[in-house]
Amino acid sequence: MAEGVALSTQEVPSHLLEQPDIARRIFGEPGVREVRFWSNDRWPCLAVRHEGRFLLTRWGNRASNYSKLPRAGWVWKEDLRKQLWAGVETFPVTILANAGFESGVWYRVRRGIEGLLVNDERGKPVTYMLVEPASHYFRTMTRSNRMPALIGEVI
Amino acid sequence: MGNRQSGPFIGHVDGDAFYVSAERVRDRFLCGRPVGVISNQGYFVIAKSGEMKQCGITTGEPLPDAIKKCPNGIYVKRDFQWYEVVSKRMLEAVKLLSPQVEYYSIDELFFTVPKGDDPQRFAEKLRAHVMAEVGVPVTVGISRSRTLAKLIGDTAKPFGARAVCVEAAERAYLDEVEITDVSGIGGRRARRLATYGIKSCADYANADPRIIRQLLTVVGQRLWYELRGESVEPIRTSRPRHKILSRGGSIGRASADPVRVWSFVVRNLERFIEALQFHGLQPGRISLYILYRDDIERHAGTRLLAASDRFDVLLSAFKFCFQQCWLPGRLVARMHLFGTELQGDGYVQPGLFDPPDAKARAVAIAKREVNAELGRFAVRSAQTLFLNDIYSDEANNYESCDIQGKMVF
Repeated sequence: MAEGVALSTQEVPSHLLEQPDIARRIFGEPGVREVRFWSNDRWPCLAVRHEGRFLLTRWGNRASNYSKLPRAGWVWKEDLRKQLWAGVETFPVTILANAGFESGVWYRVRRGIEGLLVNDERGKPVTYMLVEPASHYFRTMTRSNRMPALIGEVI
Repeated sequence: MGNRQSGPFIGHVDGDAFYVSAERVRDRFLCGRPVGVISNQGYFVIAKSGEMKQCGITTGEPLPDAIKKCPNGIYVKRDFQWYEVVSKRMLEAVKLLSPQVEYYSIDELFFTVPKGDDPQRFAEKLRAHVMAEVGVPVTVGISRSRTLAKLIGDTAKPFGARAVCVEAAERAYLDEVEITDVSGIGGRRARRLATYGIKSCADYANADPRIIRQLLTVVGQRLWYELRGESVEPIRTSRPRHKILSRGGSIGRASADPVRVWSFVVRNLERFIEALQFHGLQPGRISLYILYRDDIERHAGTRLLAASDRFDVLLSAFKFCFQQCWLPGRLVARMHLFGTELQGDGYVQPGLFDPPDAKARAVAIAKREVNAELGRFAVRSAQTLFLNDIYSDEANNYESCDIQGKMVF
């Protein structure tokens, strides 16, 4: 099942909302519209805040046919401490989200999700979602053993 | 009795989808979206927004079923500390307009209408006032008794304001309300009443009071007066002393592990003692109730040598009860610890065989002071170490029953 995140359209620059690749991801009635980003989309992407700027980046490297970056959409947070990414320039970013989706359940995300941004061989930004072992609560809700590394909150 | 329009009139305030509304006060993203609040362990929907209700989701619905009915619903973890903040704000808002307010439950209040105020206009004014001051939608019902006010309010939900203070109009409403909609009249009592042709609240109000008294004792008779517009249940502005004190609830994932289940008993015991000490009470008798899966129940109690709030004394007593209640191999779903024969008010009758308590008192004081400083359960019994998954989530440390001052759970 696809993981996903949703971001209120009010938090997305309006000129981006008119672009076809973003417009097709918009869901909801007027007043409660959101952009939904899915990991199994044909062009998976994420909205992140990097150095104060709003960026749309590729979500992980599952879909690329040229990059040698890890073929995943997420990275265990503990792997950063193990220096498995040593030798690669990485940047901590905030994945912008108001809600997350896991195993059929939409859950509230209040301050965003920790992300890891790297530039691929062509200099294109790629963001991996950081994950950690699921809390008891999250595991009961979603039956998932991993959960996004939420910023400033615990589920 | 006749038609009485001059008052006094009694009102009922009920928060609409209160937990969801409280979440929306601090989180505007949730407004207009189908929202469900999830239980302690993350499995059941304990509150749902109107949008989610329209999808057919009911309170207590397991999450896997709820997401099938409402795949776009968004689920938030319950936060009783925040709900208490909002609840107390609601209480203070109503107190600004009414001379007498009863803090009935986390989302319900009873009040008296100020003398001379038109009840319908006051209901609308109060509804708007709570919305403006607190940000939660409420429904207000006003009538000649608190029971009628609550029933009238129920017919006006959501975000309603309705005053019905004339006997003929009250009876028209009561004709449409089943007697089981009244708090305290469950299936068994309703079946007993039905044998006398009493099915609606109007039937009840019209019945012979002697039959009511015979079937349901003086409690049922008080209800009879209330449904006829005679206010006999007072508005209580402060909580009377407890007759029973209880702590417990679901243990989340059902378990047949005696170590884990016993850990929950100890966890609930510490919460129980905290409540006793808050109210200055000591039980003379305690009992333990365990509900197993497949609805098997076990209940055991014991009298203490002397009323006590000591951890060591109560632990020993509950251990005895636990051994009576334990069924090997059966999955435990929930439990409750009860204390009765409560003594307090500054004096507790000492027993002839009270064990020495200087050390126990010192430990209890130290524990209380450390937890007051560092957070609830910062210091706790080592017998709860098997529940680290529960204690590691701070939200589990605060539940609805921890909100003090209300009349009911």
